[in-house]
Amino acid sequence: MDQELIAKLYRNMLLIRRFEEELAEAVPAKPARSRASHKGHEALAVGAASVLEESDLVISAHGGLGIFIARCASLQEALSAFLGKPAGTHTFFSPERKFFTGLPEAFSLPLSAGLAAAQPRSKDKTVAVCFFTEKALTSGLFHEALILGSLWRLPLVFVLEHEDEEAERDGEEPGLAALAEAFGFSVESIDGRDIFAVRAAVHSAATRARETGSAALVAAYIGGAAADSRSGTPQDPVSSLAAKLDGLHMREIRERIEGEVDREIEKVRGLLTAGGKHCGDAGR
Amino acid sequence: MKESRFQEAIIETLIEEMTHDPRMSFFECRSGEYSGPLAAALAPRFGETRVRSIQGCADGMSAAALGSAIAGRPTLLSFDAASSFLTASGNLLTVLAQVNALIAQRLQIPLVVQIPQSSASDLEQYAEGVLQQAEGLIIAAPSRGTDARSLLSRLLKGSRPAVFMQPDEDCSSDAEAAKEEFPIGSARLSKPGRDATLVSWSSGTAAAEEAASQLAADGIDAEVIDLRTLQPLDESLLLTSIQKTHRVFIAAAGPGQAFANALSQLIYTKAFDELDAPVEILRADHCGAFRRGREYAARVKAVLTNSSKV
Repeated sequence: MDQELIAKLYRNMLLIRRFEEELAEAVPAKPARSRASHKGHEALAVGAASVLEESDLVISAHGGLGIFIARCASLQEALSAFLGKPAGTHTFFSPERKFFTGLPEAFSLPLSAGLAAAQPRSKDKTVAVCFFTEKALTSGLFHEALILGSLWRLPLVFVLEHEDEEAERDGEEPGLAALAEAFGFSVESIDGRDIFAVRAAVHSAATRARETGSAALVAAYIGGAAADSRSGTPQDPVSSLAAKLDGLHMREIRERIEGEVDREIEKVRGLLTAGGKHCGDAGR
Repeated sequence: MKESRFQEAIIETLIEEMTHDPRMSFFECRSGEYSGPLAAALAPRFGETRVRSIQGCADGMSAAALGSAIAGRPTLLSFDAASSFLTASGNLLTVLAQVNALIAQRLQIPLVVQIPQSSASDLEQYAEGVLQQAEGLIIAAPSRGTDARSLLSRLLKGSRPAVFMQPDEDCSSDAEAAKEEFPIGSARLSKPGRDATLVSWSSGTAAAEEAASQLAADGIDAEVIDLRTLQPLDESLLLTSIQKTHRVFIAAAGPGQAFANALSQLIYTKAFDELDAPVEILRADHCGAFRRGREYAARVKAVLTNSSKV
């Protein structure tokens, strides 16, 4: 297994975990914190981002911060976006970076279809990848997005982050899979805490979407109510990758990465205590 | 047919603009089984990746069209029924406001939503009142084909979300009107007059013009203003007219009075001292410019006669 790749994946996951923990502590206000508490999703964010092309579009329907960092941004930039600078908004919406978020969750699904439809039909097609949670499943907009995706044969990948333990135990969510398949979507259910499973599933879904223009749904289980994703438990994606590094005799590399991440977080803490005053410029 | 001339103007403008800009896309949300005249005219020319039509899915299509516009393609989203636009408008207008706030002035959203001004005439649902809630949204409501041409082409080349309302009956006559270029937000003085100002837009203009010509026979010289855009609003033309006539009548096309009410509020705020009588909102029970115009004329005459007695 490619050591350099594993090290990079671990670094990004740890960075997101630590950054979100830091934010949750520093920004106690509930609405702001909800965006920073996606604990357990790091493998999904980093895994998916690592197999997408730079030209691909990423839509975060649930407003997740992790995928923004994994996809494109420095921590300073993420922080300035999080603290609402510039323009006085709490958003990471950034067309230049092909990153879209902050809109109502269910609305983002057909919006992704429109973004995919707007891409030029060239050989190396751009894929639109939309991350969302089970909250959107009961909305009519989800169903309309399925219709548009199948009718127009769009290069579109939906990535569902869910906490439905029952569906996870049975291997998949039968109703959802049957529904999406009826619309011509290919469906794969995975453990979203396993970064290698995420990479494989998102890569094959994106490749198929790119080459054949067929839409796909990846259903990723990220742990029940984030409870078993707490740091240190075997289900925690960050700790389990750390254990994997040790198993591959990469303990030294792991410790070096942890030291680097510590220093990055230290900088963030400095910016946070300075009231985020310096972050405004970083985001521009 | 006057109505088909308006439709023709829209089709010709779209063909021109879509030929000129290969990124431009057309989304049709249709209520019936078959494509409407716009999609039918555009699809053979521009293919199915640029002309997408679907029955139903009003919410999904609105979101998709916004996605297309955000991705940088000038996009026209066409509804063949005001009612399907109205069902989707909750989502669309909420999100447009959010997107506006999210990106402040940085992002361009070249989205034009084209809708009929009202739904089937027996239901009489008008869109003006709903649209008004969306700050920053351009609302175009031309009455003539020639103005439709100029406005639509400007909106499609622009970077701001807009709604383009198509009058559903009795277009104001533009048989001899030359194509005129005018900035968005400039109203048209359809007929100058001294005695009263009739403010109108979309299908209301034809009725107002008819009313003015019937009033002229009774020696009343009415001025007719065709707003062309409801947002932005040409306040200066409106206020100049009021300073001259001191009497205002708003020719609301249907019972959807929200915009007419807001307009009268604006007039009271900005020109209270100029008014000789309260602002009057004209309504009509009839369809058709001639019959509507006759009702309007009767009402204007009655008000002017009464107020001059005081």
